[in-house]
Amino acid sequence: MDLGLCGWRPIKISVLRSMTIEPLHLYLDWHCLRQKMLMQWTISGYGPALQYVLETKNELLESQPDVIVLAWRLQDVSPRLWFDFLSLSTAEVEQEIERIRLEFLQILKSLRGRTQVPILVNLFDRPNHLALGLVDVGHSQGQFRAILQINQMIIDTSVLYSSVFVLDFPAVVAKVGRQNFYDSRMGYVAQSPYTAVGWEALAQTYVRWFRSLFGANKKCLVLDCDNTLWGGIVAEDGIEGICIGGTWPGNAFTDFQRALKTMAHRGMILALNSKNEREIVLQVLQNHAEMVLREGDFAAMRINWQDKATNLREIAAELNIGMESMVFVDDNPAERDWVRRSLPEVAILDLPTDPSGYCDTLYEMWELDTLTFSEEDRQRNQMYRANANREALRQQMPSLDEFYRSLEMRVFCERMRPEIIQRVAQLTQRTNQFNLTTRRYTEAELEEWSNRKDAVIYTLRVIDRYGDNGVVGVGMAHLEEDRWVIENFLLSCRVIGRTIEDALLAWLVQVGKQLGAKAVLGKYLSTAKNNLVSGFYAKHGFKLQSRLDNGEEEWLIISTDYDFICPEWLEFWADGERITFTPARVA
Amino acid sequence: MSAEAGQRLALLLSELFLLPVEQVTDDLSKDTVEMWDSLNHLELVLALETEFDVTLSTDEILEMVNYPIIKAILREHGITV
Repeated sequence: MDLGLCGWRPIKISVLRSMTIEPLHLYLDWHCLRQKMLMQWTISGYGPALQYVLETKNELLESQPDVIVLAWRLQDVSPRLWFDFLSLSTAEVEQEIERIRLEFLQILKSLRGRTQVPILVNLFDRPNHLALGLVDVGHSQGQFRAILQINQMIIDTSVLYSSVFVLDFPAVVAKVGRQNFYDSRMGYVAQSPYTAVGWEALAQTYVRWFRSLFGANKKCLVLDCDNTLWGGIVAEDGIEGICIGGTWPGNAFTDFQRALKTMAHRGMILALNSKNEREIVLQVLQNHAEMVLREGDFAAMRINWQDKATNLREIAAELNIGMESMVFVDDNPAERDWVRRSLPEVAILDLPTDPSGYCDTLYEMWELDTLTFSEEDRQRNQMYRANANREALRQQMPSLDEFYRSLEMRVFCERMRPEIIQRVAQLTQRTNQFNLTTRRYTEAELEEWSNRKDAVIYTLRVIDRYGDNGVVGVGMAHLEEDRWVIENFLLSCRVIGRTIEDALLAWLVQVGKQLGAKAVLGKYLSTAKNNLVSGFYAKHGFKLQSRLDNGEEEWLIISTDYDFICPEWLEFWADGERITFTPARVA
Repeated sequence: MSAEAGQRLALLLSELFLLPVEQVTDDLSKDTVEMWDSLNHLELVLALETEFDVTLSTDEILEMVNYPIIKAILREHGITV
């Protein structure tokens, strides 16, 4: 079945994220369906977005997305600015902001070197509690001001490239309320920071963007007059009797006209479609002191006693636009129904009965969203972009190696200490992707293993520019005669793709050699989730030795064939000592 | 009323973990259900909180690793399942 023919649009989304965003999928899927979009998404691993962007083999881009979403949070991008703001000097704050700017610029530049699809990036929210407390917002050294500055930087950097759009994340939080949006329980327990209400609000906003990017936008608002533009019926109440301006309910109609005027400035065409005497409506437009909209604001007018569907057809013909670009606005449900039935292509704005809701209803109509608002606007953006390219040229793209170096990673490899045994058990139980055998261990089993003379458990802790990642890797090995068997080897998904695993493996092999092993045997057991590491031992020069009945693979390497190769960008510590190995064959 | 809440819970679990509802028994646990990974655990928490209008504590979120425990926790929140 060709879904395209039924009006369903498949849309592929690639998400670069800095936190758990998986719960969003359910909500996004639902709101996409409501907009007749069939969503498919690919998400990056955790960690700095720049890392994923720089990788040459890049799942996110290879899936040929229709849109790229950068969903990032300040506490992940710069933990220091978020958690540790008052320890930073003014100069350090500036440096940190500049670093984020360069990183963002490099992300955009790298993406734009490979794809022209729209990129949607969010502004940062502020912490619930600002560093300086009450006075923070009004303080020149306040955290609030720094975050404003970063958000402004995001805007200024985004306009440098075409089709980079900025999503007002703080407004999404504000819409449902900070207390309803954040869920600190789930944040701590599962790094999933938002409530169901929060995910829902966020999904709506994203889908509103997707609809605007991929759906058809409307071009023309066709308006009724009585009780739509003003309160009352002008033919009965007279020009002086209608409600517009002043106090309630006139002020609501004034605001609605202002909103319509704003829509007109955005590029929306306005037209009138009213059952009235033409002369009397023209008199209101020309002479009523409180009117915001005047005759000249309307590109077409049908003020007569014809049925409104016929008028709509005539207006479309006069303006030379399709019926599907028109929105009909009328307070009278009977008129709306008539148009809905006669002209199903025309969108209807269902005004509430109470005019105090008119403005919100208009602004909340997703089909009225536009992405650019005038020719001038387009030109201005192009000017910005010309400057951008100049700037981008000066900023050389870092290589992945340089990126690794910029992370300032320090890796600490240690025999498992008793106080972290619980964390290690947790890692063996929860890690699914980068886990060579997915064997789960209890604390007691780990303790037993670590007490053996012929076995080791090594843990890996990583500290980088973003902070301390804690214990993120585990390697377990034991001697079987003269073979060093790596029984379990895993890495938390937070640090995948940073070459840290190479260091842990190298060190484990080194330890085996010291214990007299002649060969190293690595085990791999394929599961539904660990395909990521199916080639891990092959990549390090191991040869497939045997495949057991349970599907377990044994990979072998003669230990003299294997050098301790620690990537040069890692500062490597093992058992409390700084190890600086130059790669060399062990004789 | 209690049968109804119990049924809603069983349906919720069956939909979330893509199981026939008959298979939602006291044997159901994180270790036996393929689909019950850490992300679906999150979905489970969100779904339970929405469906039964409860707020679970961090301890409860981490403890509820099988069907009997889920029922026990919901009962503590006054839901008769």
